[in-house]
Amino acid sequence: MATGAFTSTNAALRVATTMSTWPNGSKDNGKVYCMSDECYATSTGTAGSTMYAGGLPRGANVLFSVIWPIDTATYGEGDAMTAGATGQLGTVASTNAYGDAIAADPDLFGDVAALTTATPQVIEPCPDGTIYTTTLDMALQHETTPVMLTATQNVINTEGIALKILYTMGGRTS
Amino acid sequence: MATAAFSGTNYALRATPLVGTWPSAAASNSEVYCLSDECYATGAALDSGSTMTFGKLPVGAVVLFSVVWPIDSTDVSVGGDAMTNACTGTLGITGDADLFGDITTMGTTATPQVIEPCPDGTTYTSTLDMALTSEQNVILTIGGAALTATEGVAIKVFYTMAGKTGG
Repeated sequence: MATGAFTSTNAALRVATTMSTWPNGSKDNGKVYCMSDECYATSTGTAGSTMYAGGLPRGANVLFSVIWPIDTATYGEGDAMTAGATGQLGTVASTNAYGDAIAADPDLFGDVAALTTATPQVIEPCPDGTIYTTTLDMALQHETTPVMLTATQNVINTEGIALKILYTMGGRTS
Repeated sequence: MATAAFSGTNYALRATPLVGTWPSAAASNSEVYCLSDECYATGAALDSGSTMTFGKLPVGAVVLFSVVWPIDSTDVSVGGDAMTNACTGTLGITGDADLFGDITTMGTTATPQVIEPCPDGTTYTSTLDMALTSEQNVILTIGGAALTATEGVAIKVFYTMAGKTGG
């Protein structure tokens, strides 16, 4: 065997400097935006509960998310959950404010490991073919609400999540 | 027990779209900015409790999270460089030493740490509403062990700006 030289998607597009195939700002040197929210449980919810957070605009191309557990008793400071709730961050089947049907892709924005430690988790998108197939081309087709679907364990009353979703915008150049 | 559906603070505000209560850009869908700096220890006063002062955050900055890793001025070619001793630390401002988070030991690994804000009631009570009320230096207070001269810390503090709507 020998060494190889491999070319990434956007490197290849930049080599052929054609207007119609030039990487757009959401994939390549785009401005970064952040959606930030906190969501607390107001009762104890079993695995399969949902936590709705903020909203992402049409065209948002999620880069990664940062998430950590919190509790109303300790404000927004990291506070490990009592049970080892895990979760998925994505979308549930719904209709947004504009009447658009949003397809379910429960782990589109990533998988959350057990929230039994307050250490922030950096989670990556999962364009696994449910709707999208690459991290470079997953600009949201509709305004969408991110939802964390809990798994494995209960979320106890007063526990919650702090969530930061960093994204670029499809079609924006500055 | 049963499953339940819980609403985030900003999700609930967006569900009732009134101008007076619409989430501000700093807390929802704003441009992201970054303060980036390096600080190296010098001299002989290096004990736990020493402070490293970094660049300033502007009034209105709402810190999202920070990334920190140890460095060394004598070995910049390697990038991250684990400290000799098991130094920990808190990152914050004057009057709220851990506002931007707690740093675990930098003595065994140079791996960058993502640290989350701690609005624990000392000055702020929510990650969504912790816009700085005045310009502030970012201060790292060393804990756990003494620094060694030439060692330092690289930080990247990511934040949004209260009152800005993006562009």
